[in-house]
Amino acid sequence: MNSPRISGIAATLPIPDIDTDTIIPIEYCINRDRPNFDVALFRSWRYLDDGDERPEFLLNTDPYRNTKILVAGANFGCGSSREMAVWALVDFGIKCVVAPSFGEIFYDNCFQNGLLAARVSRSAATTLSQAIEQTKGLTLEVNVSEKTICISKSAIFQFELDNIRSEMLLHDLDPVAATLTQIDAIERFEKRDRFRRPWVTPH
Amino acid sequence: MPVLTKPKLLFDKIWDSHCVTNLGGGYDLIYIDRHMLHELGSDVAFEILNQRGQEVRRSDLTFATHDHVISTAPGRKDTTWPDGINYIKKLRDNTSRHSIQLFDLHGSQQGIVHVIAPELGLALPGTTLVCGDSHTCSVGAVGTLSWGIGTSDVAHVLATQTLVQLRPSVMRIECAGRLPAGVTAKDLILALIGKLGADAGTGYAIEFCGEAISSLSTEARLTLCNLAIEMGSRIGQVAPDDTTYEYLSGRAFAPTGKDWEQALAHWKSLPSDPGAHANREITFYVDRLKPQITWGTSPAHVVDIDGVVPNPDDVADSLARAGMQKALSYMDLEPGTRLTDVAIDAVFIGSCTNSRISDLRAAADVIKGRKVATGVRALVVPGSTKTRKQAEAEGLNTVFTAAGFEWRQAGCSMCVALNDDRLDPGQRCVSTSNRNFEGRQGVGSRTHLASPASAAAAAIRGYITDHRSTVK
Repeated sequence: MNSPRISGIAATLPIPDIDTDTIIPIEYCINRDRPNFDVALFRSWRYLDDGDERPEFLLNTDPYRNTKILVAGANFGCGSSREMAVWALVDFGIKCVVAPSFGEIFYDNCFQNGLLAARVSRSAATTLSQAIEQTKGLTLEVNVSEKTICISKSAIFQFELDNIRSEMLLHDLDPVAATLTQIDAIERFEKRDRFRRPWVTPH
Repeated sequence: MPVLTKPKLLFDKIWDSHCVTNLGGGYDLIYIDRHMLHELGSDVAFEILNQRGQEVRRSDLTFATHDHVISTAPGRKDTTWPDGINYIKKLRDNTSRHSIQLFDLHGSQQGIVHVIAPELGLALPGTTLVCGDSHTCSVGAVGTLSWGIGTSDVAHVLATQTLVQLRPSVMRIECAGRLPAGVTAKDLILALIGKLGADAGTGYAIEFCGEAISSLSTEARLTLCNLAIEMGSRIGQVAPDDTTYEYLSGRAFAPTGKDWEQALAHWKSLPSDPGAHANREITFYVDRLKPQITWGTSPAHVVDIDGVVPNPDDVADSLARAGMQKALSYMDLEPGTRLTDVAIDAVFIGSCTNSRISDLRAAADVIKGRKVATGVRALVVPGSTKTRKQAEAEGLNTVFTAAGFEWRQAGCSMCVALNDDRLDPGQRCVSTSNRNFEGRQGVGSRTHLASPASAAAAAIRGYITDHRSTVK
């Protein structure tokens, strides 16, 4: 079992609708292997066209090069289904993204790759962002089992996470293997369907 | 005595009939009737499958095409776009190894995956269809339950022909009234996203209904559902009706004979029952809608074509304001600027949103006998090889080329900018595609989303243009 605790430096990008094209531009998605997607993360926000770093971008400054937890605006990861967006975050070292809402396909992709996407209320996201902006190098403590994000003992925020997804994270579950345990049910469905809807299979 | 059953929505009927087993906690194991593959989203999925030593469970329900990482240049070859060579080959190898039908780059049935799925009669009412691409929601337009998935889930479907899915809520959007002349499904969906927001549909499957939807062609409904994902919903649907059946009848992979009769009987049972209620019901009046144009970097950043760039200071929410300011800076626009005063460098007519024959006809209608403005690069990229050939048979290609447009081969092209169809940094484009995100059409590119007629009018004038005001 994985540890339910994620602890580390938190950074914030309090902007709504950060899309997966921004998280990783398409030209960095092709002809590239894991774990080399880190250089592509927020590519055009992090780097100039000639490849030099933009010194003002948060993740290019210390201590945020070691960010483990990223707090963002609503609808984080909207847009394209590219799973490379999650790979870029994970390869960079991010363990947890926190936002009031997420793009749905991105959200699914996170849990396929052991990345916690923690859905919090808008007010909690705002409070967390402000706390991160006020204290350079602030460390947050996230607990997957308890579904909490702690700034301190007196500032604890709940996040939403259903049991299936928390189990996936805590036990590194293999979804394909889990589904293959249902193979009898799948076969029964197919057998019944051949009579019920013969028109579905193209001839 | 008829058995009294609870009234059901279109979504619920299809979902329930595909539930292999309930997994608890709101999750179901859903059977997949159609799995569409393309060269970009499938290669890692096949690697995962091959590493597991597994076969494709239902290769007869799996179909593939080349669309994303390919050249659209006339006379293209496998090698025309070097970055795509490996992807083209790997999809051929993987589909051949697993006996999957491939609509090859050089074949007559090739095209953008969401364009060919309905065009070939692969997307059918009452079936489930998935693809490793977010715009798979498009084909909900023919009453399919379809959604986009990531690479890991592509592997999951290849191995099991199922997906573990959390049942979404349903939002029903009734579009009341009739669209005015010159206002299209593209304008309708952009206006809806602008009104409701880019994440209004998160957690929902959306059913579009009402008079304005019933009167749309199937191709226009495909445009409508294509942008459901830009409202946050991975599923958009329109109930099948006579328009749908007429569209599908005789398509290459559509059922025939007895199968068609049986399918048709089933399809007619699919529309939402009277008395069935969605979790959220919205009515949207379309009678006074105008052509829409986006000004920012989210499809929700949209105004009427005769409108002005909005002022972030007028927005109360500080986060939304920050997002708007960032968008204005990226787009190099000042609040209060009339959109029709904004000069452009390029026009792109294409993508899974607006590249079907009716889109090309609408654009050609505006362009006929005119010239593209000096200094503007204008591209037309048909959504499929079949569409391209039909357009050529109708002479549309000569309308475009005589005006100064490039007439290209089918593919995703400047919507995804994974080949040389891309803008230079700072260039501004009116595009019929679906995303105006930063860098979407090339690093530093600036995109204004609009309908084909609006894009065509912009190409002629060299500025964002209300196509209704251009003299015929």
